[in-house]
Amino acid sequence: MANTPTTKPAERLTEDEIRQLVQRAEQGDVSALPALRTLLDESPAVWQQYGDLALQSECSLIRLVAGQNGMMSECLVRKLATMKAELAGASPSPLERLLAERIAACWLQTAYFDAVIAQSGGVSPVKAAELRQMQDAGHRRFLSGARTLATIRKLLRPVPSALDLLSQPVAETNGRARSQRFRLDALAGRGDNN
Amino acid sequence: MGWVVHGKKRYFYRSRRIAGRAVNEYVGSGLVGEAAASAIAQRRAHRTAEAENCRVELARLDAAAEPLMVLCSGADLLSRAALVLAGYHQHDRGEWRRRRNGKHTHDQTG
Repeated sequence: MANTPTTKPAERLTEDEIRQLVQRAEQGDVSALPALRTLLDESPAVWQQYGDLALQSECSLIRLVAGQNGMMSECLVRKLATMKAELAGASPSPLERLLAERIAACWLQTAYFDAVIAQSGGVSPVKAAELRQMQDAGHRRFLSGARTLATIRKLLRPVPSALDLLSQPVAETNGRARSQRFRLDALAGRGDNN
Repeated sequence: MGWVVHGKKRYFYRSRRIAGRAVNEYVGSGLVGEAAASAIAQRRAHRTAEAENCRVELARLDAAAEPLMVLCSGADLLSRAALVLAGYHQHDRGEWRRRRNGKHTHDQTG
């Protein structure tokens, strides 16, 4: 029996349905590809939903870390905003933005567990073991997020053409025009005989 | 083991584990036994309270991390979807590789 393509709107797919679609695509079922394409490229609601989730997890962790300390809470909000902007870079795709938000939230959780463990001198061995387990899991999530972002950047970012590279400004202070002319000559196959 | 009654008198024993074996150790009767029993009960109550505190604290940490878990799972799924859509597959749970020509995807609907 052939797999029938899903007729449900992409923005209303549950996580399990998306997972099934991905599995079908991985097994070579091309009928799953249009729905996946619609989901990723034409469904802002999906990115909105996960963006809200990122905000929710960030608020939850800030509340956990800062408690009633409003100053610390404000500092954390700013720190996370800076970190997300740095990770996402200029003109990020929705997926890159989501991954940057994930990494920032994971970083906060990991930092919190590091601090809790450093201060947990007199806790029971059972609790200490549980905390270490949570810390390890947090570290793994953080590293996994960073690895995923690097993979997405490496494999899905369009490769700049030679013309794009040439048209980019170069951070040189002296002889800019000369170096640009040299690169144009090199591209045209002319040697610099001067 | 606790209190053991022989005739009209009560004797307090405590159970200990020595080299992996449970051993009943005689503590005493009368006031000595009462004092030992009380100390053991206090220690047990303290351990129970500590375990309860630990459980509540860990549950609080779990609850705070719950949205992050969902976010991580969703972000992983969407990343996977994007890579599959771009023609990559994950080799042996490791690196992502581009499918070779002709082995991209085959239509199973036909």
